Amino acid sequence: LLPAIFATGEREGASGQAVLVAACVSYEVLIRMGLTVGARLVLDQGLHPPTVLGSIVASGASAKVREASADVVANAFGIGACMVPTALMASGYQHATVKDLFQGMAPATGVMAADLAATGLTGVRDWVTSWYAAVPRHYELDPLLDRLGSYWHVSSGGIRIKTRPVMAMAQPTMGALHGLLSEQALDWQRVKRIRVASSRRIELGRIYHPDTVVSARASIPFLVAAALVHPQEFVADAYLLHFLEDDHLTDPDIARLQDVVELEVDPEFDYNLERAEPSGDPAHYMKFEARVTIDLDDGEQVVAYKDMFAAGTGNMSRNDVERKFRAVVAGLIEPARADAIVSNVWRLDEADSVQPLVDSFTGALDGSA
Amino acid sequence: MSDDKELSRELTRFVVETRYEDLSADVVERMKRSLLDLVGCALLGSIGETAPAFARYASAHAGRPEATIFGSGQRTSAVEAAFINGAHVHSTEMSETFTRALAHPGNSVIPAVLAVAERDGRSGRDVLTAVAIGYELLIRLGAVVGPNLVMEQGLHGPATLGIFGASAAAAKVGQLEAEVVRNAIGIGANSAPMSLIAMMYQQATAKDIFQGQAAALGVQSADLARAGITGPQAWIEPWLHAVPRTSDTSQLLKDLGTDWRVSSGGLHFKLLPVMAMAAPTLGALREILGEGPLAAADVAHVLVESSSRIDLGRIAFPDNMVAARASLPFLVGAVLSHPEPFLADPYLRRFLEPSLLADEQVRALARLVEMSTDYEFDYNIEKAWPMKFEARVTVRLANGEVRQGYWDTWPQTSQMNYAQVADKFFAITSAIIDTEPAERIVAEIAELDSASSVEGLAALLRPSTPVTPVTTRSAPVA
Repeated sequence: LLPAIFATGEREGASGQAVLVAACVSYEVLIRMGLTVGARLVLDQGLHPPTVLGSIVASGASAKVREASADVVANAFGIGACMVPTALMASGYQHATVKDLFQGMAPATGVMAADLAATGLTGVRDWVTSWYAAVPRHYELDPLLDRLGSYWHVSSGGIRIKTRPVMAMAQPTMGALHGLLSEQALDWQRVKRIRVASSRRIELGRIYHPDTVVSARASIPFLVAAALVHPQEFVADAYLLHFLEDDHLTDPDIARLQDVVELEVDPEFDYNLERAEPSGDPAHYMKFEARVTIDLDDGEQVVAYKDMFAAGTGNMSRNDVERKFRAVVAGLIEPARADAIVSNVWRLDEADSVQPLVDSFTGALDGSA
Repeated sequence: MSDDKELSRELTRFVVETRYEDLSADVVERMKRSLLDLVGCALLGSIGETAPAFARYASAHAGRPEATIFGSGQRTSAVEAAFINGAHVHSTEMSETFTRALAHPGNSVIPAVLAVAERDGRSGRDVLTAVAIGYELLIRLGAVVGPNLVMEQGLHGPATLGIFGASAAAAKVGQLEAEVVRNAIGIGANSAPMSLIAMMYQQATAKDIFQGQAAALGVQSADLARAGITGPQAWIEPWLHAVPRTSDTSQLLKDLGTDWRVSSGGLHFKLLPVMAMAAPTLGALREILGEGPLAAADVAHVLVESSSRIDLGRIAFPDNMVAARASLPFLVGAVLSHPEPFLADPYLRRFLEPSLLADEQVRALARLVEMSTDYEFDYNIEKAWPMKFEARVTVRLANGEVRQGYWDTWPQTSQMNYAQVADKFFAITSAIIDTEPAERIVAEIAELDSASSVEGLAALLRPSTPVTPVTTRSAPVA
């Protein structure tokens, strides 16, 4: 959504508040649409939900940030709903780099749909009924309108900020291993068997022997093996900015160890991820969990567990996010530019135009930040 | 025993390995007819109802001048040219189709191929080869998913499938290496828009973008593959798992490369600018009106019987011309209200005017139209060979008299030769380009197999004084 909003906002001279409103509204719609289709869209049907749903909502977001009329916004949604790319999860399983384009496709589709609506073309008015009838095989529409406008899912704590550049489902596994390897040394050559238990979505990470870094980021067996074979590098690199190198793809030790990694579903973890509320009964608070069980050659068993929500990624503070930002852009932009971006983002609601923020990405720094 | 990649592997091999020399004379001849028809439709669409909107879009998104927007003086990026030309073709509802496979292969394949060929300086033979391959792929895939994709699931078949033909053909005409061709098609499978047929039922004018988008994404997929992006090796298997709810791949590879579906007689040309399913109905009405005059005020009931696809035309009161072209009740009402202009206008170039949308008599007659499925007709279009594409119209008058007409569109439109396609081309482009360049376009495509490039053709499609799109029509545009 944000690339669509920023691209349109920059072109149209949108204010910071317009950008924030478009972002909040479109996040909310996208989250609700995600809840309507659930994990079956990806696990059973093989479609990549962030792209499929994102294309539709990015269309509305692009129209919203330009403060288009209600008709044009409706037409943008209705056109976008007819332009949704068939982003196939199989591309990830097959190690195809086109997967990295998926969420470029979504904002591009959104901007195009909004631009077409702005020319006067009209879209499907009842795009919700038509799209759900044609595309997802399973859905439940209730979350779409439930308390819409009064209850905001974006404030529920359900949005989680990622701290490692790996597929979401690999995060709790990597978190569990990080905790384990931070506290104890473990000789990978003694490892006989590794079982990784998580929700049913763990199936998305069932990629063995990836041949590109694109697919390596989604391969739980590879990631587990890489962490165990190179524990010091792994533990020292909090955001894994340097750890995922091409060399690891051809590392024979990593190749051998990933063959002993087994992935399995824990039904309780599955319930906690799919059903428990992010801000509901604490007894059934949403969790995003993995348990890694490592059997060693002498019969010893080592177990590591992590819930990424409890780890704080669902409620990161400004400082937490800023720390991540500075870490991931270090070496890419000079510190002054990073300062300007951070400052402009925190003050976005006061900005008459999104342009100073955009300029802080690429243009000359004016020292005002 | 097939493995889980066999279909993708064999289809990709067909795209990569087929050469011009592998095409029969009949395939080459048919592709020339298709090219001429599609170019004519693109020119016609350039002055259509939605053309002003597309002109504004093209103007705002003008890219590097690589390929021609037909009928304009404008060149833009190959992706944008493919988009606009494909949208213009689709907007006419007059381009050739392979009805059984629910495919308008040319709408997405030809704009993509010509845009890349113009940009990359490819020969006429390169174009003919790529077009034939793209057509063959699309027709076979259309047969795999069948009418359920649209009738039961609500997706627009030609737009949803179009990118497969467009990406394969764009990669082929771009002369990419085998591995890159495979990646292009795989990227295309991931980009394929899931286009909703509700666009039509809900009278949305953006329906006209459908096959322009497929063409543009085809070019883009080939360009991304050329840039080094990889696609999945197995592309059709996961697509069939994810998108259509029913499919039958048993015939997909049968005689691939030896028995060409494009030569089967399944392709047919459209002579009327209306949704394909409406053509036999209008033919039957022409039969009825040919027997003698019929006063609109005397009509008490009209029964239209056709295949089950008749449901695609169940739009009662269209509010724009895009929807009107797909509305059987409206079209029947318009014909019965204004029989003489209808009979005098074989290609309906002037008959379908926006004034008909608000014509009370047309609306009154549309209310009298009942649509019904004839299961023999259904069998004849979906299963029989030679197939038939039929409708029967029964008009009951207030005095009890019954007039009945029947029409099978197939014999007339499935075996048109180059001269007959040229006649249609001249008729539909007469208001857009002069006779002399029109004749040169017809000659250029007839000799395409000996052309070293398509620049001569592209230049003819860039008139020095482009015709202004019809901005005064009822329009979908602001």
